[in-house]
Amino acid sequence: MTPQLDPVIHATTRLQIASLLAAADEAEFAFVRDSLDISDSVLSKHASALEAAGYVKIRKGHVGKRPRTWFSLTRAGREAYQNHVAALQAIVAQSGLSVLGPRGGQGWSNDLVGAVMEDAVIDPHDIRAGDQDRGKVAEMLHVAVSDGRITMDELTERIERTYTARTVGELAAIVADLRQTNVLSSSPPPMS
Amino acid sequence: MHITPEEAAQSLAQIHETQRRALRSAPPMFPSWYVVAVWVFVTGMQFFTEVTPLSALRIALPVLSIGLMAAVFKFVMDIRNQSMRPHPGVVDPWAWGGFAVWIVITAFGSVGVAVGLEALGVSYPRTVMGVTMTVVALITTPILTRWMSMRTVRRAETANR
Repeated sequence: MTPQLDPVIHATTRLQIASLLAAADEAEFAFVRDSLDISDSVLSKHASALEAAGYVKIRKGHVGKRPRTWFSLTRAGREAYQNHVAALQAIVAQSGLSVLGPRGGQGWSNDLVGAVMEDAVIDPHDIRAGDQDRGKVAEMLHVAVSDGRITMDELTERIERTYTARTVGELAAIVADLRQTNVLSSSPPPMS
Repeated sequence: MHITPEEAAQSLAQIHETQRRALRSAPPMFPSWYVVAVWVFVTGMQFFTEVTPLSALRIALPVLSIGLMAAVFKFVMDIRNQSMRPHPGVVDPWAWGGFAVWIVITAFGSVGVAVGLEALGVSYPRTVMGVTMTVVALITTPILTRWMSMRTVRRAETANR
């Protein structure tokens, strides 16, 4: 069966959480938050969504007197993550780039990623984004909300991602499904 | 859902970077104090069987055993409460291989030291051996755990390139 992209973990932050947890048996809340450089509330929100989807298991405990929370991928979560990565690899492979075959049964998918990085990540998407780029994307997101194409929740999440995006590629991913306006082009979109 | 190959490659690169960064900042594979605690137990046993009279051993044995059990319990809790435990699938098998070799070397080394000290006519050779090996463990275990973590990170960075 052809692996499909998983909408639950497709969003950048969730994919980052899933990929970190794929490399871990268990990871503590603060570790995940600091590793991904995100806020407590963003991590809580995405972790809850992943838990609701059955992809993440949340364990609560204490270290000394301090309450702590640990995350781990469930079996379903690990499978979903592996399928998602395999789908990404398939997309890259179809474009003519060389990609190694998937290694089934292991949480580590970066055998493939390493090969992909060497060949594929040499495009304009790696160029550092500027404030002007982020502003254009934010403007596009607000237009998308007023057009009813995304919800306020999605706007909040995407705006957060926009202002933490480091490269043009990350910005492009945020508006990948809102193509009409083409805000990432060098010329501004025509105003109707 | 549709994404371009460039976006897919970008996502894959981001996954790689996230995992590499997480493994790099992960704590050591196991707390090094535990190995030292085991050697303290061994040294204590040598001391009470070699230096002190038998009556002292009757008291020392349960005390040392309880100490060792407490160390095992704390070890388990420390591992369970670690900020991040690498998944077995990402740990370099050579890291565990190196750990096994280190255990074999220190175990045989301790026997060699005890026999050597006895041959040299040193008083209480087993106790001296225990103290020596505790110091060896104290010095080498942190290096060993760092090396194991480094191998795992390096594996993440260079896997099948």
